[in-house]
Amino acid sequence: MKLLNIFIDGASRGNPGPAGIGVAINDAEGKPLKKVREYLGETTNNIAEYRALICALENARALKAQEININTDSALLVNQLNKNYKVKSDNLKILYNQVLDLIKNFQRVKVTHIEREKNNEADKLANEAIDNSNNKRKAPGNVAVFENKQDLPDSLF
Amino acid sequence: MISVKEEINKLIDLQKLDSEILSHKRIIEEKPKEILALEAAFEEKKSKLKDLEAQVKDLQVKHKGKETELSSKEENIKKLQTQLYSLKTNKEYQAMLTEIAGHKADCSVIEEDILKIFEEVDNTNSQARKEKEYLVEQEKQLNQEKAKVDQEVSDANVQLNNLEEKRKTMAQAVDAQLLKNYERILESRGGLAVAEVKNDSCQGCFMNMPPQVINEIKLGKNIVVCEMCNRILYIREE
Repeated sequence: MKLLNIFIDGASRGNPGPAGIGVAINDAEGKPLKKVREYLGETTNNIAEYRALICALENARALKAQEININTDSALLVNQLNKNYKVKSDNLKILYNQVLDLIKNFQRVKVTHIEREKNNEADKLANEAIDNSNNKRKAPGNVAVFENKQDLPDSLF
Repeated sequence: MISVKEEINKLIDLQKLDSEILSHKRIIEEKPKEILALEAAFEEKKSKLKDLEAQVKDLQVKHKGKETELSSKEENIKKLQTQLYSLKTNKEYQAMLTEIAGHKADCSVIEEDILKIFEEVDNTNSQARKEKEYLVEQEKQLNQEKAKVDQEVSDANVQLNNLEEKRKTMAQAVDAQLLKNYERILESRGGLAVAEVKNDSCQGCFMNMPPQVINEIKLGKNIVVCEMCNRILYIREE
């Protein structure tokens, strides 16, 4: 897979507080390939943004992408990666270095700042990750597992 | 006893058939709408020709008006010229000549206007002729397209009947309760009830699947449903 267009968002309610990430991966034509939402536990929004980027890079590597365009509404992320701002926090430095390592797997990685309104999909996924962390399910993750074929509940429909 | 894997395989086959059925239904529904759109566009093109023809008529009316104005001026000139002989003084004679020259100048201007109108009429007629030829061609294409669509819709109806017959047989082989649930998901999820997991994501909604879920699907002991889109999940065996 040559080029991927990826939208990322990290959300933290309370900052620090319950946090989640959303990653929407599309192909070069904008067709969706994969969506990821993950609950992070309690953390800050900047850590959540970095974790979203790391998740995007890991998934892009698994998809064997050669070039990726990352879109984020985090000005901090874009400016730190472009070396306009220094990474001061020790927690962020670890994540920053992780990002630099992952970037080596690609021929080109472009990180672009976009307005919040243009990042709805990733924002929605991040918030869903936080909201769903409060729900109890039979199995972890994004699936429900039924032992008998008759058990598919009416509430699904 | 039939295993879950076998039941899922039956549903996968049923889904393929249902996807084909949906595709034919879409042809039957959408193609006639395309024709209506083409017909509307054709009507709009026809109105362009009508506008050109109306323009020609307006120019002809304008031309008539100018001809009348010219005749009137020429009449005036004739009158003034006959009056010349009855004038007594040189001063009056010169004044009359000046007036006649003025009217002649007006006539020149009107003649020029008439020539311009002739040119405009020629151009507009030429455009109208081209537009007519174009419309004839467009109408021919439209009729060809209509015939093509009629054939497509007719073929789709035949295919649909065959597929629906085949579906009846296939559906009977699936467990009744599972079939009921499958059909409810099919209806609520835009015709896709069974989704493959590819690149670790549900191909129905593209949500990422955690590794333990992938294993659960591969084990084939239970029916695994995507919690995001409620579709039944499977992984293609290589």
